[in-house]
Amino acid sequence: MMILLILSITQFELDATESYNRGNEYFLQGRYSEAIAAYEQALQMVRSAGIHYNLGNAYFKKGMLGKSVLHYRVAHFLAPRDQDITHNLEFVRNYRVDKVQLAASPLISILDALFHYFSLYETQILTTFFFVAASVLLSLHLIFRIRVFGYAAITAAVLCIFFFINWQVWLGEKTGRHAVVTGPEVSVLSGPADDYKVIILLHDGAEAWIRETRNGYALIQLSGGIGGWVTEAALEEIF
Amino acid sequence: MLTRIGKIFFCLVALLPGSALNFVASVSSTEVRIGDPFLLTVSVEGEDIGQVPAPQLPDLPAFDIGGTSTSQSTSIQVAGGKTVRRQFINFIYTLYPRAPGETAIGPCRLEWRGETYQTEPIAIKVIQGGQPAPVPQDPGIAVAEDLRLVATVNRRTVYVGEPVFVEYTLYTRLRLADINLASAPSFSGFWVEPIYDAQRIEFQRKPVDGKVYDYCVLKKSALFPVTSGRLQVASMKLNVAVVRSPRDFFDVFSRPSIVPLQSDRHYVEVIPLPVEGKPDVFTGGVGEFSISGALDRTVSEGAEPIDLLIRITGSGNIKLVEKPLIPSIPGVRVLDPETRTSVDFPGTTFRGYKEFRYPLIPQTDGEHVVPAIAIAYFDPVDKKYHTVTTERLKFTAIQTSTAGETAQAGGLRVIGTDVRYIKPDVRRLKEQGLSAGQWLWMPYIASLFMIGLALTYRRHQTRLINDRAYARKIRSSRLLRNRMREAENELKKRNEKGFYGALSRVLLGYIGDRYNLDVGSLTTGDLIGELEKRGVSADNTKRLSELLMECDLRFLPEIRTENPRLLLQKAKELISGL
Repeated sequence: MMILLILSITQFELDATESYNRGNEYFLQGRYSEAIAAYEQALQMVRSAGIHYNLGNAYFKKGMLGKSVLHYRVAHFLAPRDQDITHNLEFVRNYRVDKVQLAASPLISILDALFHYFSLYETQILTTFFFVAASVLLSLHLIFRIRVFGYAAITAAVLCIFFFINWQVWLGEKTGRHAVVTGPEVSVLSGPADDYKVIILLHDGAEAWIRETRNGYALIQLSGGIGGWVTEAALEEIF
Repeated sequence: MLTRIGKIFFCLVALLPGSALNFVASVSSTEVRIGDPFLLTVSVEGEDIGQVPAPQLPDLPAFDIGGTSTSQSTSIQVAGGKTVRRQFINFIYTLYPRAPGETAIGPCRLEWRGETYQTEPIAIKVIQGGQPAPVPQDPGIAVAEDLRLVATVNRRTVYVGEPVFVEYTLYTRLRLADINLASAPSFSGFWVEPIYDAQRIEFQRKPVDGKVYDYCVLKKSALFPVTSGRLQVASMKLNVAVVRSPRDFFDVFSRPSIVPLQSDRHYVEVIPLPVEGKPDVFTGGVGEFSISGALDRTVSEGAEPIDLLIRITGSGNIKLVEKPLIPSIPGVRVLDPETRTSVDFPGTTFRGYKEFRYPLIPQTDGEHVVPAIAIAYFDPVDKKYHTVTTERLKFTAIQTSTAGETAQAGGLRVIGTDVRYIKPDVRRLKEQGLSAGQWLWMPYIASLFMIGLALTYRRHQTRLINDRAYARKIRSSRLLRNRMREAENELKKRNEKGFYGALSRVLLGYIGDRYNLDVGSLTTGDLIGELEKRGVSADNTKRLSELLMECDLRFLPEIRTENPRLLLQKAKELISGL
């Protein structure tokens, strides 16, 4: 049974690789629609930052900024230290019509970079590792009463807390219902029905946070706190 | 999928494997009267089909083509968590049947990106023309005189795009109990802008042909023809519950009579816009319009987009005006515009504006000029085309390239930026988890358990040092085993004196350790008293006393009563009972 499972996973990865490489061929020929279809097919089988990145590029070439931003953000989530992903995400954000952005202070920028250096998966593994290390060292200190073990346990605990905060930051992004506008233009209304007043117009690629949904409408909040109701069909959630 | 109320024919869907293009033909009715126009709609649906050519129509010997038009729309669908954006382009042809009988519209063809698509033939039944069936009526009600549904149109001849106003009014001299809409009018070949729809019936009164009627306007719409030819303004149908005057006493309680009403049909002759003199920059506007252009700012830093706002203002078919063509601007990339429309109906015509917001992305540093942008519209009053233009606009772009900031070491000048290239081919993709699995909690539980064990051990060690009673108690089990083994050895050697001495040490040693008593300094009586103080039961103290007495008699074997092996068993039972 185990062998069968391993073989099926391997076959999935090989099929995904074939679709991914085919997508690259289409991209090279400028056949972006076909490239998108091939990358999407690969994503059905394997989740990978590389596929999301290339998919973001293909959507950008098609002029679909929202889908492009969406896939770059997933790629950034999976591989936050990849400079290509970071560059392209910022580049595509500059192409958007809406320029809703937080004016981040240098301190916030540093903290943001610090807490997004490791991926969610990495922070989970590192948090667990340092928790176990701190526990072992504390136990040794309790049993043998050697101070060095005590100091080492404190150091491991501090590192564990640091990575745990990283973990929670990523988790907040994953479970926080972040979404991207994928239509050309979306009216943000003052209530969850089409007869409410239009208060903002959002455009392809605008990023928002979904607070709640009701009757096919989503209450969204933009950077800076402003927001309103839009049809759910105009948004696509990142995770 | 195309749907129409009433008669609809739906035919071929040419969906090629691997292609996202649907090519479909449909008609507004498969049974038509001679002289009555009907619409043939050839629809193309797919992604990125903005440049699709018009389809090739088959030979149509049984029909006259009255006019053509196109319409476009975009839809966003969400299916399975994915958003799909598709374009729809409809090529609409107005056809007039020539002769009665069974006939057909052959397959339409479309060639697009090396592929050929075609639709299925559509069967059409043409019947002789005639008047609409008379409205049945209650013999007791003079419907024709006292109850009428009247449709009025303000014009009979218009140009394509020129509005026709239609109004449906109910006139009555009877008492009405209820009014229900049986069939809303359809307006094939028109773009419809609703002006008024009655939410509740409120009658007013006015004289008509010497008689006073109650009347109520039910619906008013502006119809913008999108095709030329003879177009029908369809009738509205109502079911009206009329309260009859009682003819006798028993008739007082009779129910109201239901009377079906139908308004007249009207026809509007739609003249095509003149081909001669039509400017290239004609964008579909019919009426009177002006154009203005503006930039949201004049300096772009770091290749940030600048918005070019083109606003077309005026009266006429403002909603049907298409986006103006933006000439190529060297060093600037022009993206597709976002559109916003605001229309008002002050009373006689539609007025408003349509805005197109084009993001301009500067690719190079320097001053960029947006040339004058022109649109043309057709004025039905003077029957001429007019062209209006915006002013030239300028803006400056700086630091469009972030990498080089223009001149860098080595003298290279970066003149543009783009997204970084795709990741290369790989030999094998590996699954990247968004997060670790559930197994992650196991090390945490194991670690906490380990700390618990360490704390327990630490506490045990501390008590061993600080608590003598605890230490003796912990030791008592081990010492008991040693002493018990010693007693058994003596028994095996048949050394009775040695056995009784060892058994005495077993009992006294265990009790001393267990209850932290200095048994060496206590008599048997004192020991029993101390044990009773510590809650040992009277039965156990009695059994202990008897066992100690047996041990003390080891020097007088002649008066001993118990078997030594039985004594050892009793001692074990007593200790386990303590």
